[in-house]
Amino acid sequence: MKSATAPSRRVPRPAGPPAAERGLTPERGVRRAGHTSGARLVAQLYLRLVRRSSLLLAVAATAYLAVEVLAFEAAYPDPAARATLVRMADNPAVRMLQGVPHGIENTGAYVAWDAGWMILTIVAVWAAVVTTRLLRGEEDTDRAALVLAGPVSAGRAVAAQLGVLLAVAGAVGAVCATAMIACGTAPAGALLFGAGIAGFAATFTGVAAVAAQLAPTRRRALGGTAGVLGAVYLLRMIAYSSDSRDGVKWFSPYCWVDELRPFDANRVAPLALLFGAAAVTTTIAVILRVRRDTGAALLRSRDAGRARMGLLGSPVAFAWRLNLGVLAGWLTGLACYALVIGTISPVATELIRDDPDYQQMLERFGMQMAGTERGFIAMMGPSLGLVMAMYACWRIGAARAEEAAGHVETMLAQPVTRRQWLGGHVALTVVGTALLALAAGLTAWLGTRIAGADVGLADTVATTTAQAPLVLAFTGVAVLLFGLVPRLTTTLPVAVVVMAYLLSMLGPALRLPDAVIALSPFDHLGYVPVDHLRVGACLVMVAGGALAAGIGGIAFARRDLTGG
Amino acid sequence: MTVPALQLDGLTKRFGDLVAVDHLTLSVEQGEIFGFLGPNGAGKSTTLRMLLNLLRPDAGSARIMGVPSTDVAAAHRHLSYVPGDVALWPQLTGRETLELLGNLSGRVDLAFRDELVQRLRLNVDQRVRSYSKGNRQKVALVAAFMTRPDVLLLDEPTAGLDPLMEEQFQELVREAAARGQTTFLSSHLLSEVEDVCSRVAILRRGRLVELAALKDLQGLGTTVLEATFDGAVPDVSDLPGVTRSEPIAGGLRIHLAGAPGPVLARLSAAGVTRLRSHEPSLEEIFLGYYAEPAAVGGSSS
Repeated sequence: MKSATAPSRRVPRPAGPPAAERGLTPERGVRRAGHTSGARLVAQLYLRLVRRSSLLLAVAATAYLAVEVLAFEAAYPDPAARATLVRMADNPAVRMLQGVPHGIENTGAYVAWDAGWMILTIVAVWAAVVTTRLLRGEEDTDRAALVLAGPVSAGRAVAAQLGVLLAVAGAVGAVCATAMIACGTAPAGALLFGAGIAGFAATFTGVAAVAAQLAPTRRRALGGTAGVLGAVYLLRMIAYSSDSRDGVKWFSPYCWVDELRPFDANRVAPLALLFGAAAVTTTIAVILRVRRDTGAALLRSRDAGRARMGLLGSPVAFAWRLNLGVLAGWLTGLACYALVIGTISPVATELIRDDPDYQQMLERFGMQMAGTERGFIAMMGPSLGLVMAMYACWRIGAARAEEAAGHVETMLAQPVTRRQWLGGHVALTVVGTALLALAAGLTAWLGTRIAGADVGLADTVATTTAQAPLVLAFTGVAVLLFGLVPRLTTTLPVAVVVMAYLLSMLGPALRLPDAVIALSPFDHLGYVPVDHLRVGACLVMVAGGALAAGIGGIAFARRDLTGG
Repeated sequence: MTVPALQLDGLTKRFGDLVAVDHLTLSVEQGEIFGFLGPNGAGKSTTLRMLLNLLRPDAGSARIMGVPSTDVAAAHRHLSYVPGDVALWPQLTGRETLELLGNLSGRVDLAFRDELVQRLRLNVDQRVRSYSKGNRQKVALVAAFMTRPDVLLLDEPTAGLDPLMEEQFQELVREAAARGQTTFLSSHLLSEVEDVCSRVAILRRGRLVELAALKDLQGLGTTVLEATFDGAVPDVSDLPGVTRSEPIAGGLRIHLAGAPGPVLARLSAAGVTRLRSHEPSLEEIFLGYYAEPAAVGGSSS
């Protein structure tokens, strides 16, 4: 009976006349998508999805390059200053961190050497994030099914996605080249440099595309791609650590870009390696995609498993459980970096022994500290602080991701208050930071042991833990933004951290007023253990962070929960 | 006198210019199964999310078992919630999810949990990411019932369940009511509410348009006749007792409030070939409340 009297529900639409007879013509709202235009529509959709982050990337890269050019020309205005720079820069420690300097008395060559590896890392991270989002994230959420239900095959859809991503990679390279030309550097070098950036982004688009076919979730595809990126960076360090290991460079895309030597030798041939790798990886990705089911992965994940009941007892315990894997990744990365810093710490001291002028030169640049191994570690402190602050921002961003995914709704429908939940995440951030600081201190010390340097464990741990007030300050900023503008929680705090770091590093060279540079928390740390810990500044940073976090917490308690 | 299970007092929520819920006032007694009806976008989920303090009301307040909804730690000890779109952590198995949610609520009847898992035929050793929508909903239902809460807030809880499971669900709700638990069941599926609820509220564009016991709903006293004919379909709208008549394929649907004699006489004179009669479903009553006139016409074609 019920079905006979339920007219409004589940009544199939009467089979009407074809669209054209119903008066729907292409001009009146029904677009007839053929095969090519179907793929084009898909490409338009995905371009829309990556548009904002692509613009952001282009703007950030342009600004970074422009600041580098200005900073270089302000800091090294004449040939004499540049000559000392060349002497100072060419030592194994700097080579391992930044690459081999080629002709860096030229502005363009200096920027490509000093900022190149950082820009490459940024574009590769961007490529990994957006590629895994389109190629795996869309399947994780089953949105891909909506697209593939249209007249578009999986192969064409993935080709359209990769086409969009590679086009954006090319555009970012072109924007970088244009920015360099606009800054007055040689067009040939600028174009080659831009091509290198585009090729590197394309290569990692390909790597991430393959990872997205192999891994069953976006998280794992992203983790795998990040692992490859970290590995090829390490290979670059190994390649530049000694002439005898020079051959290793042919295994790292970072080195392929270095081999272009823009503004110096201007070699074009290594581009073939970059674009060749991009072509091979993207082709493999398309082939793998066509051969697998939508939603399936080549590396099967176990969908059933024995239950692990640990860390399910409270909101904080559970947040810790979710956080463990990623924290392990951060710990590994930072510990490796600190180990390298420890290992290369004696390099500067050796140089001073060999070269009496070197001491004077360091003093002239206010870098006399680097003359001792302890001083070198202390000078690298802020860069460790930068990584820890980025971890803190990511951690609070993960809390926001829980909210965007709707998980926090499930959590807060239980007798769990918002304060408990957010407080748990902040507590985890603090504990995670402490672990990072201790691990970095320990591996930096291990590095100095390996190198036979005269640095105590207390020294390296003092350097790393002295960054804690800064990290707490930025944690506060992240919580504040989480409370006030949740949608920006992941990106904005990281941007603030990076800007503050660059402000304190490049501000003096740009001759910015001290009052402006003093806005950066990095400017107030002091180089512990060579300098004393600036207790007053530390207290201000911790208090400021606590205040910001408090306001953010209140704002969160008062606002609606919002989705993604 | 016992406190009401739920007390909504002038609850209002705006999203920009849109008034999603407009001065909603109602009260649900303990032990009731209360149907909360409305079309998509009527404000049902918004109301539930305000009751849970996930959304902040712009005006008004709500109490759960006498506890203000803003006092989450206390109020949520009385309730369980099944959202319309169940978001669970994909990397956990069903068993881990139930363990987590049980620990958070702090009061689980373990034997009942296992019984629920069996009755809803849920495989708890699968990871959530491999669950279908229906299975995620089952996890949420087990988690909601296993704590034996005073109040169950259920937002379209059977949308992903098959008819067998839907039946099982209704049984669970009736059992809960028998134990004195209160169920607040939001739905646009009228059959779901009709079979279990004692009282219903009908929401349209954020406003309460009806609040009544099921048996008192207006129009419930009428009879619906469906007649099909061989030849011409007669017009009966002028006859006494006919409140509505609409064409169906090959015949008429007639809503009749009075004695059937005159209508039957005309139908038989017109050569009726088939005649069915039934009580109006809640849906037919419901349509009168919120459907646009065009939609009423469309649904009967």
